[in-house]
Amino acid sequence: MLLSIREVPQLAGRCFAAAGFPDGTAQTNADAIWWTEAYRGSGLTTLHRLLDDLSTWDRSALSLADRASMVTTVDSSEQPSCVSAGPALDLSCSQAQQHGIGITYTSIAPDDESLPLIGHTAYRAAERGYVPIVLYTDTEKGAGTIVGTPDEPQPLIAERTFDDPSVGYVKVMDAIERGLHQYRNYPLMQAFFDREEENRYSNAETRLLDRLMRRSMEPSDRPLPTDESGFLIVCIDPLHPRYPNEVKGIVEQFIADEADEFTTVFRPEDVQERVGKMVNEGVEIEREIWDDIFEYSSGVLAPPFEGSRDDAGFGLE
Amino acid sequence: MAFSDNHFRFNTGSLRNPSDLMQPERLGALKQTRLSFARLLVDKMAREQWQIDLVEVDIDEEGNGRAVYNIKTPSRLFSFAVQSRKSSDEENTDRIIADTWDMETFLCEGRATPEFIESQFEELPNVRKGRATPEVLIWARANRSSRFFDHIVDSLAAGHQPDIEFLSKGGYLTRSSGYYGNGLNGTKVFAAMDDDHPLKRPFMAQMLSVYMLRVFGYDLADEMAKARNPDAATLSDDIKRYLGTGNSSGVGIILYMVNHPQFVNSWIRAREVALARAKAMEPTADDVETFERLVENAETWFSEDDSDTERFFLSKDRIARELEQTLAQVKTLQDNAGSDTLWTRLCDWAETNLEAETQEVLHALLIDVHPEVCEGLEDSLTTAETSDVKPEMSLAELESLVTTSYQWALDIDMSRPEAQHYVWYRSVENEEPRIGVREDFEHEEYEIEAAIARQVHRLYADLQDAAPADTVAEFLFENPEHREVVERIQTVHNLPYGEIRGNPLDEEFVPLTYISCLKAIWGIQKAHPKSIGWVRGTFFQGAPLRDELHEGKHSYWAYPAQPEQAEHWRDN
Repeated sequence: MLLSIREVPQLAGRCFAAAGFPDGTAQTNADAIWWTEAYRGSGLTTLHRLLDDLSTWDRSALSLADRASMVTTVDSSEQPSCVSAGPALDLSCSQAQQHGIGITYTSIAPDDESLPLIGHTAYRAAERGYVPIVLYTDTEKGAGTIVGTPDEPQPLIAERTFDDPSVGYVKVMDAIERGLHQYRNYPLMQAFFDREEENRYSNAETRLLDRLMRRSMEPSDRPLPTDESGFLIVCIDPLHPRYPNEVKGIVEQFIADEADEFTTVFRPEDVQERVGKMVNEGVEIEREIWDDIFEYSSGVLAPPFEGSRDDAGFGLE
Repeated sequence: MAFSDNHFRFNTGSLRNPSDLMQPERLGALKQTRLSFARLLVDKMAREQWQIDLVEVDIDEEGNGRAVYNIKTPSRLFSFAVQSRKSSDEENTDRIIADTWDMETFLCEGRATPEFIESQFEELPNVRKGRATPEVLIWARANRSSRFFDHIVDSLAAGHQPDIEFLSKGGYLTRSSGYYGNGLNGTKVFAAMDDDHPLKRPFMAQMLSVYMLRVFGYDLADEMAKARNPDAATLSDDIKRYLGTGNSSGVGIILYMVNHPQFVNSWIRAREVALARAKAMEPTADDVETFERLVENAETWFSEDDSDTERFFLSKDRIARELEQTLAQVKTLQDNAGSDTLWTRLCDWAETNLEAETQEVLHALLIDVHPEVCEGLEDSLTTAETSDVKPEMSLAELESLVTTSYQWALDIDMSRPEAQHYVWYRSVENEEPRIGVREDFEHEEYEIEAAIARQVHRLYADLQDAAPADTVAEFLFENPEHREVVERIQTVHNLPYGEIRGNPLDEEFVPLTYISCLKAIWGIQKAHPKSIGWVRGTFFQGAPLRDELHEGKHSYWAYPAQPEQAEHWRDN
């Protein structure tokens, strides 16, 4: 059967609201379901898999473990990434606007069924005008790197998946474990400049960006300093004075150079065609899956109560 | 300060202050204008000479059966299909989530095949779970008017016309209760329409369905009468033109107004710009003559409307009397020249001498006298309703937005118990938004947030405990419950006409104000309260008939005069 493209976020939003999420947060998560459907073709099936657990998710379990350092760290208390991705993205964006770069690390529950939604953070950051680099590691499900270029309405997003964490992820986690991240910018630079290497960029900031991205495309042969699952959202403000004007071009060049290495490149023209098809023809969904989602979404409807009315007006006549 | 707006010049100060205009009572007084969607549709249909053909009809004497219409526009063909049945008065409730209706209809793109029609009429009765296809623009359901429909069919079957005096008390044969489109139930989404799509404007597909229900109502009556008596009369064109489509709307549509501030701002701003442009024009003698004629039409229209307006609307007689005063005042002002234009002086006089509803009729008529003032504004009615949190914003800046653009909300004393007397929720009994008394409500977790003012109060209170230099990102991390209102404030704060400055939770809340405003936006003409939260009214009264559209016959139709009772209409 077919749903209209508008029904995807509407149904998803109702499901999250039925699970007890505040309206604004429910809508953010619903947008992530929409993105996953539009980009990966699996938003609704992901939502369906999550239904049994939605009501156990607890947004209030999140706490800011460190907000003063270069890398903001969020303790999610074993909540899945869907619960923390939105707030973590906001923190990275606001840091990026202030300092040019914003990095947020968030621990997550292992075997996170909501992990496919994490790409939405890269998309949303790009929509907001930032260069996003999202690195994730799930000890059960594997790891990945997602990068994007800032643009509207359809940013260029590319993803590589790994069995093990990327070098970039391990290096940032090392810096966090060693406390280097508390020294603002340069210690992180040191983490990525641990050996002499040719680099086409002369500006230190753009070299850092280039190396961070390239290291994030290599699987690490070193173990993680922690057995924790988590994700890093790195946002770079290309308009910040510390960056030359070439940031967007650097990311585009990087994606072009590494095109063969990415598992998936969501090219704007391809996404536009896919979204256009969804707009015009609807979104395919199995009837049984829709029945379950529809039923769950009905949880926002209040049961009858004394004084409730079933008519359209009150104080009639 | 004057500025040029295309070739119009008007004073920015003449755009009304949102503090006055966005009060619910004032919005409830707004009337349909040339920028209302029903009127925009008729203008387009007549300008482009749309052809509407009844291509299939099979109706028995009780009204059971089907009809199919083709609607040919210069670029596309649409089909409108109706399944009609006779339901009992007990079944006929007018509710969107009812069990049965007299009519189930759909509007779709292209020529509807018999198989397609069959499949849609199988799905249409399932209000919540029924599935349309992307070719379908609108699903709608409607009922016959219990007062007037039988009278018309009985009269026609008896070989004469119905009693026009009686019909004028209502003004319609069929009354719709809800239009499902833009993706609901799998219907075509607005975004899927090309820019040159004939219905690529907000609510145009809905309005075409409303118009088609008017068309079908006449054909239904004629077909039923003919089935009863082969020599039956057919409904006179004069009567058809005078009647429209009824509409019944309750509190469910209020949340549309609350949840679509960008759309509300677009429409009201367009209307205000049109009015400001009109007021800035110095009328010619012909313009004044046109104005006087339109006012006389409207005066007659209101004086002939004897529907009960209860205590919530101004009586129609009062409006008629005040319009008469307006005519006299025009002459007085003409004799005493001033520095402002005649229309500006007239509106200034109206502001202190006429009730709000009459003022708004006057405003609508001024726009009608100078239809060119709507030039370019139609395009501004389509808005992209996107928004996102701006996490980088400092809390000092956010608080500044609250205390400037949302001071009206802070001025509402939400601590009074009566300020939160009502609660909004969606009921499992009917799914639509509903309003109930809070003290009877046992399910707090199901409450829908309908009061922006309360959200702003709560946000403002928590902002006082936060560091002004902190960012919105940091604040929302600790206070995720404010995400929705923060995003709204960041998005809407610079839209002067986006927020209705009322409190839908207050014990004194009058839902009719919000409902009437949306109905003015749609283009309803007669509107009369069935209760404090339920408005019935009429669309397309006076609008050209389907054959007249195709012939390009189109004149001003907004306030039609009641047809004279012809000798041959009744023999009793």
